[in-house]
Amino acid sequence: MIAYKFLCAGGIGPFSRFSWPQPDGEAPGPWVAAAGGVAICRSAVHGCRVHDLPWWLQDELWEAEFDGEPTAGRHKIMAPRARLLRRIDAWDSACAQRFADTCARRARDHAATALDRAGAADPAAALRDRAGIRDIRDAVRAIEPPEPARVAVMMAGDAARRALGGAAVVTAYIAAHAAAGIDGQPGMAAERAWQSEWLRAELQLGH
Amino acid sequence: MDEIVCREFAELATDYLEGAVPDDDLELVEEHLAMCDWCREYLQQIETTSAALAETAPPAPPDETLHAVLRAFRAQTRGDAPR
Repeated sequence: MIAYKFLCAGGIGPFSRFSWPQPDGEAPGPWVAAAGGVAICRSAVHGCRVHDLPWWLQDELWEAEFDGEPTAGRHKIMAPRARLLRRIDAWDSACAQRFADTCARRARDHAATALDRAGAADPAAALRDRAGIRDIRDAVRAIEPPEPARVAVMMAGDAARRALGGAAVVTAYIAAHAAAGIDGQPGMAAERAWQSEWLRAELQLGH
Repeated sequence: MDEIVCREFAELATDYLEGAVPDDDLELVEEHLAMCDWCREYLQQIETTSAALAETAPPAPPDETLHAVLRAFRAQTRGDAPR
Protein backbone atom coordinates (compact mmCIF):
# COMPACT_ATOMS: atom_id res chain seq x y z
CA MET A 1 0.00 0.00 0.00
CA ILE A 2 1.25 3.47 -0.85
CA ALA A 3 0.64 6.04 1.86
CA TYR A 4 2.51 8.87 3.56
CA LYS A 5 4.78 9.59 6.48
CA PHE A 6 5.43 12.91 8.15
CA LEU A 7 8.95 13.15 9.54
CA CYS A 8 10.90 15.79 11.40
CA ALA A 9 13.70 17.62 9.59
CA GLY A 10 16.45 15.23 8.57
CA GLY A 11 14.10 12.27 8.15
CA ILE A 12 13.62 11.65 11.87
CA GLY A 13 10.50 9.95 13.19
CA PRO A 14 8.66 12.46 15.37
CA PHE A 15 7.86 9.93 18.10
CA SER A 16 10.35 7.11 17.61
CA ARG A 17 13.24 9.50 16.79
CA PHE A 18 14.30 6.82 14.36
CA SER A 19 16.43 8.09 11.50
CA TRP A 20 14.65 6.81 8.40
CA PRO A 21 16.93 5.56 5.62
CA GLN A 22 16.22 7.64 2.55
CA PRO A 23 15.81 6.69 -1.10
CA ASP A 24 18.92 6.67 -3.22
CA GLY A 25 18.00 8.53 -6.37
CA GLU A 26 15.09 6.71 -7.96
CA ALA A 27 15.60 3.62 -5.80
CA PRO A 28 13.35 3.30 -2.71
CA GLY A 29 14.92 3.43 0.70
CA PRO A 30 15.56 0.12 2.46
CA TRP A 31 12.71 -1.63 4.24
CA VAL A 32 12.33 -0.72 7.87
CA ALA A 33 10.62 -3.32 10.05
CA ALA A 34 9.01 -2.70 13.40
CA ALA A 35 9.37 -6.01 15.18
CA GLY A 36 12.79 -6.92 16.48
CA GLY A 37 14.35 -3.80 15.09
CA VAL A 38 15.33 -0.57 16.71
CA ALA A 39 11.88 -0.20 18.22
CA ILE A 40 10.36 2.15 15.70
CA CYS A 41 7.18 1.26 17.41
CA ARG A 42 6.33 -1.64 19.62
CA SER A 43 4.48 -3.51 16.94
CA ALA A 44 4.15 -1.60 13.68
CA VAL A 45 5.38 1.12 11.38
CA HIS A 46 2.88 3.97 11.17
CA GLY A 47 1.73 6.01 8.21
CA CYS A 48 -1.04 8.30 6.97
CA ARG A 49 -3.67 8.07 4.34
CA VAL A 50 -4.55 11.41 2.74
CA HIS A 51 -7.47 11.88 5.12
CA ASP A 52 -5.15 11.34 8.10
CA LEU A 53 -2.66 14.02 7.12
CA PRO A 54 -4.03 17.04 9.02
CA TRP A 55 -3.43 15.30 12.36
CA TRP A 56 0.27 14.65 11.89
CA LEU A 57 1.90 17.61 10.13
CA GLN A 58 5.67 17.79 10.53
CA ASP A 59 8.59 19.28 8.60
CA GLU A 60 8.88 16.67 5.85
CA LEU A 61 6.28 14.63 3.99
CA TRP A 62 7.28 11.38 2.33
CA GLU A 63 5.48 8.94 0.10
CA ALA A 64 6.06 5.48 1.51
CA GLU A 65 5.27 1.90 0.70
CA PHE A 66 3.73 -0.15 3.50
CA ASP A 67 4.18 -3.88 3.19
CA GLY A 68 2.04 -6.68 4.54
CA GLU A 69 -1.52 -6.12 5.56
CA PRO A 70 -1.86 -2.58 6.95
CA THR A 71 -4.22 -2.13 9.86
CA ALA A 72 -6.28 1.04 10.06
CA GLY A 73 -6.22 3.12 13.22
CA ARG A 74 -8.37 6.17 13.91
CA HIS A 75 -6.13 8.50 11.97
CA LYS A 76 -3.27 6.32 10.80
CA ILE A 77 -2.33 2.97 9.31
CA MET A 78 0.03 0.40 10.82
CA ALA A 79 2.06 -2.16 8.91
CA PRO A 80 4.87 -4.60 9.75
CA ARG A 81 7.36 -2.73 7.58
CA ALA A 82 7.67 0.26 5.28
CA ARG A 83 10.15 2.10 3.09
CA LEU A 84 10.38 5.66 1.88
CA LEU A 85 9.79 6.17 -1.83
CA ARG A 86 10.12 9.90 -2.42
CA ARG A 87 9.87 13.16 -0.59
CA ILE A 88 6.87 15.33 -1.38
CA ASP A 89 8.82 18.50 -2.07
CA ALA A 90 5.69 20.63 -2.37
CA TRP A 91 5.26 20.30 1.41
CA ASP A 92 7.66 22.88 2.78
CA SER A 93 7.50 25.69 5.29
CA ALA A 94 5.80 28.01 2.79
CA CYS A 95 3.11 25.43 2.07
CA ALA A 96 2.68 24.79 5.80
CA GLN A 97 2.16 28.52 6.31
CA ARG A 98 -0.41 28.67 3.51
CA PHE A 99 -2.24 25.78 5.12
CA ALA A 100 -2.14 27.48 8.52
CA ASP A 101 -3.48 30.71 7.02
CA THR A 102 -6.23 28.83 5.21
CA CYS A 103 -7.26 27.08 8.42
CA ALA A 104 -7.31 30.42 10.25
CA ARG A 105 -9.72 31.74 7.61
CA ARG A 106 -11.85 28.63 8.06
CA ALA A 107 -11.98 29.32 11.81
CA ARG A 108 -12.93 32.93 10.97
CA ASP A 109 -15.81 31.64 8.83
CA HIS A 110 -17.01 29.33 11.60
CA ALA A 111 -16.98 32.26 14.02
CA ALA A 112 -18.95 34.35 11.52
CA THR A 113 -21.50 31.55 11.21
CA ALA A 114 -21.81 31.42 14.99
CA LEU A 115 -22.32 35.19 15.09
CA ASP A 116 -25.00 34.98 12.39
CA ARG A 117 -26.80 32.26 14.29
CA ALA A 118 -26.64 34.37 17.44
CA GLY A 119 -28.28 37.26 15.62
CA ALA A 120 -25.12 39.36 15.29
CA ALA A 121 -25.18 39.78 11.51
CA ASP A 122 -23.12 42.98 11.34
CA PRO A 123 -20.09 41.68 13.27
CA ALA A 124 -20.36 38.45 11.26
CA ALA A 125 -20.20 40.33 7.96
CA ALA A 126 -17.35 42.50 9.21
CA LEU A 127 -15.39 39.45 10.28
CA ARG A 128 -15.95 37.69 6.95
CA ASP A 129 -14.53 40.72 5.18
CA ARG A 130 -11.17 40.29 6.86
CA ALA A 131 -8.81 38.17 4.77
CA GLY A 132 -5.42 38.96 6.28
CA ILE A 133 -4.51 36.89 9.31
CA ARG A 134 -3.48 39.92 11.38
CA ASP A 135 -6.71 41.62 10.32
CA ILE A 136 -8.70 38.63 11.55
CA ARG A 137 -6.83 38.67 14.86
CA ASP A 138 -7.47 42.39 15.29
CA ALA A 139 -11.10 42.17 14.22
CA VAL A 140 -11.77 39.46 16.77
CA ARG A 141 -10.36 41.67 19.52
CA ALA A 142 -12.83 44.38 18.59
CA ILE A 143 -15.91 42.14 18.65
CA GLU A 144 -18.08 41.84 21.73
CA PRO A 145 -19.84 38.61 20.79
CA PRO A 146 -23.17 37.49 22.16
CA GLU A 147 -22.69 34.59 24.56
CA PRO A 148 -23.67 31.81 22.12
CA ALA A 149 -20.90 32.93 19.73
CA ARG A 150 -18.28 33.80 22.35
CA VAL A 151 -16.24 30.59 22.14
CA ALA A 152 -16.30 30.48 18.33
CA VAL A 153 -15.04 34.06 18.12
CA MET A 154 -12.35 33.37 20.71
CA MET A 155 -11.26 30.33 18.69
CA ALA A 156 -11.01 32.42 15.53
CA GLY A 157 -8.65 34.72 17.39
CA ASP A 158 -6.61 31.78 18.68
CA ALA A 159 -6.42 30.30 15.19
CA ALA A 160 -5.18 33.60 13.75
CA ARG A 161 -2.52 33.91 16.47
CA ARG A 162 -1.32 30.33 15.99
CA ALA A 163 -1.24 30.77 12.21
CA LEU A 164 0.88 33.89 12.66
CA GLY A 165 3.26 31.73 14.68
CA GLY A 166 3.39 29.15 11.89
CA ALA A 167 1.71 26.38 13.88
CA ALA A 168 -0.19 24.72 11.05
CA VAL A 169 -1.18 21.58 12.92
CA VAL A 170 -2.61 23.60 15.82
CA THR A 171 -4.46 26.00 13.54
CA ALA A 172 -6.04 23.03 11.77
CA TYR A 173 -7.01 21.56 15.13
CA ILE A 174 -8.63 24.84 16.21
CA ALA A 175 -10.55 25.14 12.94
CA ALA A 176 -11.85 21.59 13.39
CA HIS A 177 -12.98 22.30 16.93
CA ALA A 178 -14.54 25.60 15.87
CA ALA A 179 -16.57 23.62 13.33
CA ALA A 180 -17.54 21.14 16.05
CA GLY A 181 -18.78 24.00 18.19
CA ILE A 182 -21.23 24.95 15.47
CA ASP A 183 -22.29 21.66 13.91
CA GLY A 184 -21.07 19.02 16.37
CA GLN A 185 -19.09 15.95 15.37
CA PRO A 186 -20.31 16.03 11.74
CA GLY A 187 -19.02 19.60 11.51
CA MET A 188 -15.62 18.55 12.77
CA ALA A 189 -15.50 15.61 10.36
CA ALA A 190 -16.43 17.89 7.47
CA GLU A 191 -13.74 20.38 8.45
CA ARG A 192 -11.06 17.68 8.65
CA ALA A 193 -12.20 16.32 5.29
CA TRP A 194 -11.93 19.82 3.81
CA GLN A 195 -8.40 20.18 5.23
CA SER A 196 -7.36 16.81 3.79
CA GLU A 197 -8.72 17.74 0.41
CA TRP A 198 -6.82 21.03 0.51
CA LEU A 199 -3.60 19.12 1.18
CA ARG A 200 -4.35 16.54 -1.50
CA ALA A 201 -4.92 19.24 -4.12
CA GLU A 202 -2.08 21.51 -3.06
CA LEU A 203 0.45 18.66 -2.86
CA GLN A 204 -1.00 16.78 -5.85
CA LEU A 205 -1.16 13.55 -3.90
CA GLY A 206 -2.36 10.55 -5.81
CA HIS A 207 -2.99 7.95 -3.11
CA MET B 1 -12.47 8.92 24.31
CA ASP B 2 -12.01 10.99 21.12
CA GLU B 3 -8.92 12.87 22.19
CA ILE B 4 -6.96 13.68 25.28
CA VAL B 5 -6.21 17.07 26.81
CA CYS B 6 -2.99 18.27 28.40
CA ARG B 7 -4.01 17.28 31.93
CA GLU B 8 -4.67 13.71 30.77
CA PHE B 9 -1.41 13.63 28.85
CA ALA B 10 0.47 14.69 31.98
CA GLU B 11 -0.91 11.64 33.76
CA LEU B 12 0.23 9.36 30.92
CA ALA B 13 3.61 10.96 30.19
CA THR B 14 5.73 8.61 32.31
CA ASP B 15 3.92 5.55 30.99
CA TYR B 16 4.49 6.86 27.47
CA LEU B 17 8.22 7.19 28.02
CA GLU B 18 8.33 3.68 29.44
CA GLY B 19 6.36 2.27 26.48
CA ALA B 20 3.59 1.29 28.86
CA VAL B 21 0.66 3.14 27.29
CA PRO B 22 -1.86 0.57 26.02
CA ASP B 23 -2.08 0.36 22.24
CA ASP B 24 -5.64 1.66 22.32
CA ASP B 25 -4.51 4.90 23.94
CA LEU B 26 -1.19 5.30 22.12
CA GLU B 27 -2.67 6.95 19.06
CA LEU B 28 -4.54 9.44 21.22
CA VAL B 29 -1.36 10.28 23.09
CA GLU B 30 0.68 10.74 19.91
CA GLU B 31 -2.09 12.74 18.25
CA HIS B 32 -1.98 15.09 21.20
CA LEU B 33 1.82 15.27 21.14
CA ALA B 34 1.79 16.05 17.42
CA MET B 35 -0.04 19.27 18.01
CA CYS B 36 0.79 20.35 21.56
CA ASP B 37 4.03 22.28 22.01
CA TRP B 38 3.57 22.43 25.76
CA CYS B 39 3.21 18.68 26.23
CA ARG B 40 6.19 17.97 23.96
CA GLU B 41 8.23 20.31 26.10
CA TYR B 42 6.90 18.70 29.28
CA LEU B 43 7.85 15.27 27.96
CA GLN B 44 11.33 16.49 27.12
CA GLN B 45 11.70 17.90 30.63
CA ILE B 46 10.77 14.56 32.15
CA GLU B 47 13.26 12.78 29.89
CA THR B 48 16.01 15.23 30.79
CA THR B 49 15.29 14.94 34.50
CA SER B 50 15.16 11.14 34.37
CA ALA B 51 18.44 10.98 32.48
CA ALA B 52 20.12 13.34 34.96
CA LEU B 53 18.88 11.33 37.93
CA ALA B 54 20.01 8.08 36.35
CA GLU B 55 23.54 9.44 36.15
CA THR B 56 23.58 10.38 39.81
CA ALA B 57 24.67 7.53 42.12
CA PRO B 58 22.67 7.35 45.34
CA PRO B 59 24.71 8.65 48.31
CA ALA B 60 26.26 6.01 50.58
CA PRO B 61 24.90 6.01 54.13
CA PRO B 62 27.19 7.38 56.88
CA ASP B 63 29.45 4.72 58.50
CA GLU B 64 27.68 5.11 61.81
CA THR B 65 24.29 4.31 60.24
CA LEU B 66 25.74 1.40 58.29
CA HIS B 67 27.28 -0.15 61.42
CA ALA B 68 24.08 0.35 63.41
CA VAL B 69 22.06 -1.44 60.74
CA LEU B 70 24.60 -4.28 60.58
CA ARG B 71 24.57 -4.65 64.37
CA ALA B 72 20.77 -4.77 64.37
CA PHE B 73 20.77 -7.34 61.56
CA ARG B 74 23.30 -9.57 63.34
CA ALA B 75 21.40 -9.34 66.58
CA GLN B 76 18.22 -10.25 64.73
CA THR B 77 19.80 -13.30 63.13
CA ARG B 78 21.23 -14.42 66.54
CA GLY B 79 17.78 -14.08 68.05
CA ASP B 80 18.80 -11.61 70.75
CA ALA B 81 17.39 -8.49 69.18
CA PRO B 82 15.34 -6.33 71.50
CA ARG B 83 11.63 -7.06 71.20
